Amino acid sequence: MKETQLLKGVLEGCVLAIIKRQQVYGYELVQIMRDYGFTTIVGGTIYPLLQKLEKQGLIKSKELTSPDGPNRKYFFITAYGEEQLMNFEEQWNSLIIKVNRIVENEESE
Amino acid sequence: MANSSAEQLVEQNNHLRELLSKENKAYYEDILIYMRTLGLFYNELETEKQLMMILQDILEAQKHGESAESFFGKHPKELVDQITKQYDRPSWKSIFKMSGWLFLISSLFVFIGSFTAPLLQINIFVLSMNGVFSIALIYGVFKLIHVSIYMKAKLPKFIQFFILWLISMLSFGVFFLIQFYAPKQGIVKVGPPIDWILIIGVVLTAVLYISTKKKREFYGALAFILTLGIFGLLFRIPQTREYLQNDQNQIYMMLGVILPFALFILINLFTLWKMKDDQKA
Repeated sequence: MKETQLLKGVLEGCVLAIIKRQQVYGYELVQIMRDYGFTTIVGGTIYPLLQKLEKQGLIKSKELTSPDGPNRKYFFITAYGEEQLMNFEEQWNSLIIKVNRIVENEESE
Repeated sequence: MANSSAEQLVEQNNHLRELLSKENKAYYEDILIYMRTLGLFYNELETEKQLMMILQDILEAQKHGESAESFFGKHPKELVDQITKQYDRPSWKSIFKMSGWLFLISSLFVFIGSFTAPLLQINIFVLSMNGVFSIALIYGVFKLIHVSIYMKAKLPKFIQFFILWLISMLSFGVFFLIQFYAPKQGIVKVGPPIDWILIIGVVLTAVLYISTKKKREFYGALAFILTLGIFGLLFRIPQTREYLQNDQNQIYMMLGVILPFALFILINLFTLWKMKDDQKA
């Protein structure tokens, strides 16, 4: 299975978690994701995601001055976004337990 | 921090884009044209904000030795489609506003073009059919460019040119047919002194509007309106009319028709050339 396909739903939670820790702009976010090992992540997959999260009110953006060139668009998490992130973490934790149980069972057979 | 307007973002984009390397620029400009030609009625600011963000990120990637393609992705069409899919649908308000503007501009050209006729007359049918056709034409051209950007097989240059030529000729044909075959019942004749007032009114409004906006994109149109307005008035002032419409002075009648169009095209070409030059500076 392709990693990107498996990743689709999880990616939003990851992006939220990163933005909760620090305000980011597009390029920076892609680099952070890559540093965590998501080496196949490209800008093109991140932009629609940011857009979607912003439309849903989970994050908000603000133009801040940047040392080089015009203002840059930075993203911040909203209170609603933090709430949804907590939901995601809960669901994720219960999901890995279930998935691991199945996968480990398979290995021991 | 003040948010930028769509216009400012376009301007900044024009300058920043020049910092891209040759390959990155080609890659980014495909994205740019593809996004801007999505439709006539989408929110321009939303598009320009996205485009600026992508440009700044690609520039930063370039600084770190990464190509635009490796940063943004190998399949830009699919990725951009994902972005534009999330746009708000165009509101009826923006559709009416944009169509209204295009309609007004096309009607204004027809109206101003008739300034130099001996009797000022407007055919309501011509005006409305021209307007509707102009909107359809511009919409169609946008769609055509949009679809062609990421076409699998790139057409040879001369076929592209031929298609462009064909579209222009067909459009001229349609405008021509409308002009000559529109029902004559729609004609409204405007005699003195209303024609005087209308001509002076349109010229003054155009001059005031364009001089407050100070946008050089409009200077060609301004010359067009001014020359036609002046000729229109000269053909109406009894003293000058006699001189200009004298058989030996056919040349003035011709000048009244050709000069405005020539100025319009020349000034626009010059402006375009200047703008390209400024971008590089």
